[in-house]
Amino acid sequence: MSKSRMGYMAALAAFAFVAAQVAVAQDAAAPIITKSGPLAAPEAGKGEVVFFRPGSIMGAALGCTVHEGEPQIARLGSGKFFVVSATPGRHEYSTQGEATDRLTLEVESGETYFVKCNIGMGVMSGRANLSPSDRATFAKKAKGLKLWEPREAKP
Amino acid sequence: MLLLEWGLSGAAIFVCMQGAPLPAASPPQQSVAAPSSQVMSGPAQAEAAEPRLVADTSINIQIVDKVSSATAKPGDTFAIRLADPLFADGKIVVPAGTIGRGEVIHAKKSGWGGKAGELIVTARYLEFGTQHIPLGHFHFAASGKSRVNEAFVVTEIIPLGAFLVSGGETIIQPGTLANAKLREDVLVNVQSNGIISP
Repeated sequence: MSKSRMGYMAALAAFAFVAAQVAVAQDAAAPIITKSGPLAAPEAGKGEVVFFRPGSIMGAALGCTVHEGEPQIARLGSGKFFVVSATPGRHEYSTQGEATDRLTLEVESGETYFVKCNIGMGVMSGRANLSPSDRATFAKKAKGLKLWEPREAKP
Repeated sequence: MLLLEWGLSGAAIFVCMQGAPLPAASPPQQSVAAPSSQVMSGPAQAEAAEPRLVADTSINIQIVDKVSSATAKPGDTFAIRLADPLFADGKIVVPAGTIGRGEVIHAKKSGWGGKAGELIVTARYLEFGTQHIPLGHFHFAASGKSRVNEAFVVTEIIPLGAFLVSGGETIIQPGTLANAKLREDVLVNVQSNGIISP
């Protein structure tokens, strides 16, 4: 093999390697695939809040109800998630169980926020808790999460 | 050997296509708007000649004050600073080190049963001259890498576990790097270090 041909092959191999690194980096921006399909991007002019409850034996029989003000917006069983399309601005979400837990978010258009719901140990029964999470944590659990579908709106 | 070359060429093209950048979700990271081509006179002409920072320009910032879920309350503010200068027309118009303020949106102390403390913060504005440059779209940086001239930013959010969790509390240390975006267009009067309202 001539030197020029070897140099050409070395350049091709280097190019392929660099392109592969770019491919890996782009995975961070790829849509997250859940059991119910890919997580959609926020609607135009709105932000998106993803509530999720990873599968766990703890409190499995209890639902994690998510409210914004009085209305309930989701009731997550174990292994479920729900997406709320939110107008930009401040939103306070809460969950009710043995005690009320609140989480405030400042939603901006085009952004996606992740909120994890856990059922922890309470004195008499489980205590639901909403805590800020992140894309990476949700992505790790996504394949085991199914979209919660509301049966009917509850006041 | 020829087959090997063709195979490598094909593989390079395939991998390159796989790694093709996705369409940018935000506007190009330029901090300069092209000046208007209309003929103007007087103050309007002077205003058009001023460098402009466009809305949604990504910037690198650094947390200055320590923020802890043990002591923070919603509404508390803390100092931030510009980590890399902002450029317009190839010149620095807002220097690195420019101070600003961030705000605590949500804070909760750690609880019993090992429940970690919670913190949600955002960047509010940079103080430049007598005006505030409003900021939004705050994210903590994954690696803090930036390219000064291009204002390239890393926008992935790092997991909360990467913060120091001490005694169950969540603490944002001074020096932590983050990204934000300009909320609106800003005309910069470089000579007086003030801001001309957009």
